[in-house]
Amino acid sequence: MVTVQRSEDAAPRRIGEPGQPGALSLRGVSKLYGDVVAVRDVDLEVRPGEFVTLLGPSGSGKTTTLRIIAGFIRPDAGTVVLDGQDLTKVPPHRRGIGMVFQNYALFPHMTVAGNIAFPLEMRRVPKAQRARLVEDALRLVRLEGFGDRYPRQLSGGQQQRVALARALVFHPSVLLMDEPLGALDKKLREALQLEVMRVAHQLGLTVIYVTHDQEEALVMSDRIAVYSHGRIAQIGTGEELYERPASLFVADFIGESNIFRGILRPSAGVVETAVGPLRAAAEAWAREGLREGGAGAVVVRPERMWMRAPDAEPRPSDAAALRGRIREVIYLGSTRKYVVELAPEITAVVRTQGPRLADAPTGPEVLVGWDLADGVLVPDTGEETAAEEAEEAAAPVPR
Amino acid sequence: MSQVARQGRRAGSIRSPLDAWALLAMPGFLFLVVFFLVPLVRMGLRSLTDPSPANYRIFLESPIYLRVLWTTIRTSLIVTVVCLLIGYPYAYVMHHAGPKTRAALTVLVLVPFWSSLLVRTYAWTVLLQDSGVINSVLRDLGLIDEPLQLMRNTLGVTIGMSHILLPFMVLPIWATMRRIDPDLVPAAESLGAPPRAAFRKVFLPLSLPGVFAGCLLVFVLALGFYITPALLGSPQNAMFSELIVNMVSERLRFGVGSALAMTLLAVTLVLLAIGSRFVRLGDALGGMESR
Repeated sequence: MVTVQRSEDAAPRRIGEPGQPGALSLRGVSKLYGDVVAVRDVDLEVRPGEFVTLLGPSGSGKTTTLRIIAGFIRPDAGTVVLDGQDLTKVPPHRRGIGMVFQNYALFPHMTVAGNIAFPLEMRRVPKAQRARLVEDALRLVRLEGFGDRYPRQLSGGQQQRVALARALVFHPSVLLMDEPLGALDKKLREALQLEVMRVAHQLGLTVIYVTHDQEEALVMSDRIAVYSHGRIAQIGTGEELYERPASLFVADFIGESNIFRGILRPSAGVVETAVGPLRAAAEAWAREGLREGGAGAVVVRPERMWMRAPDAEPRPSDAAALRGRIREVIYLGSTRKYVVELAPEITAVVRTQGPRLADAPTGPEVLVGWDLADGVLVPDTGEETAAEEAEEAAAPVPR
Repeated sequence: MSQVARQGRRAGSIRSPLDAWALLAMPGFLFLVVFFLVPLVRMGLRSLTDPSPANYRIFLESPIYLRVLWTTIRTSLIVTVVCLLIGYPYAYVMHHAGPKTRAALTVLVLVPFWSSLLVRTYAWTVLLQDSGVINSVLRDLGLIDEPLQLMRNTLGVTIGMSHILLPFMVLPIWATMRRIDPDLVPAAESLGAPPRAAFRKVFLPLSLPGVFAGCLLVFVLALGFYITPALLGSPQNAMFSELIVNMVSERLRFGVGSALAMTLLAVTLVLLAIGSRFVRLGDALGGMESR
């Protein structure tokens, strides 16, 4: 996970200040295409200046939600409200919301300056003032002097900045971004992530950002809404989603997880699984949907797992101590990943801070486990995990 | 893997351009040389030698030849404009229609390609003549007393030719529309453009290459039309190709006929050259390819 120093920003960030525009709320928004549910009953409250990411596999409804906010798709039910005004029936050109498209959607027959001036022209801003605003916008995205070029003469990253400048030049309070960095390579993507955040924070913009890249979501967002099958599966800060996933889907989608499925026994404080009873802390049981005898799972992040010699003494904080055999060691630079077979077809992944040789396990036989505080309990409603859903989505999905 | 691919490509590029594939083009090439290029050159020579280059003086002898040339260009222009006015909205609807409607519209526009030009032209005479279907219906309804003059004039020629040439306008325009990024119009709307402005400022300019290509195709094809104007027109608005036929098959003056044909060819090439300043000819033809 990456954390970003936000204190370097020149101006302090403004979120939800009195009088700040850009409060967006979606209430009960649904959209069906024939029998196919694109979005079902989505509720979303976004504070002014907040950066919210819609994250999910392709076809999960995140782009549909964004297009409903933009006004390109009219929802079958629900409302979109911006700063107290119901936008549901307002056409896109009167919403005053900026949008950046996946493939930039720059007008190929206009120069960079022409593209950026377009929203000003539509708002009948006088010509002299237009030129100045275009200059300001180009400076904001650090593309001074590029005004006379045509989009095809620019690199992908530069085109993306022009698209950003064009979406911001008319000072919208809300900016929508639809996988804007998907087509760029990793280095450039990371640079532009910071750039987008800098601009958004500087202008106090509310940003709704769509991506399927969980790392991008964690880097950029104040809050993340995880989508699954047209619904928001969970919404919260990156930390909340990572540390306390509400469902198997979210646990699997955000980061890597060891998932032990079984039968819940709250009375005994354990989950009965194929690898034996696993203990869970008292706090972990305080969550909806965890019934006695119900299906559930213990979720443990690989870096929270420990690995000991097979004859090590048990400790009272152990949630489990499972005997296993190391099948694979994957060297990842700063960390090392061990794939440990606990039973036929059941493996656990343990990630350790690249141990010095002295700490490395000496034989293939090990004990793996985790502390009580590190196991998260989730109900198992029989839904697919993200990996299973991704496999299903690999079949062609209409855009 | 990419290493292998790159090597493969490099090896491919060393090969001479005249490889085995060129042989596949030979039959077509030979056909064009024997049945098109050779007769064309002979016709050019004949216009100068049968009996002499004085064949071309026919334009000075009678004003009718220049007048017919002008009529031909004017009729072609009218047909081009009519095809554009019908074809652009048609292509626009095709572009925005669902898959089923689009298939139906495509078939409708292609029907002229699949049926005989002669049959269709006769069908138009059945509809348009004084005692034809349209006039009878209008008279039975009591809307007219005297039959409307629907053919044997420019109107009839324009109707018949536009019907036949419409696909050459619709298909290039539609092909160009399909290449426009579907996010551009929504982008314009999100930036504050009402739908009409988004069309005028973004969609229309980007579809113009198809419009130019379609106009050029229709216009050039119209210049050489013979059967349709012969059946639906009158001597007053005869097209140039009718003069050529008359000169060759009735007056048997092959030299003069050749001179007229060469003149029409020259005029067509000049207009093409002017047109190609606005549109790449490859676009006009490449735009025809369908999915």
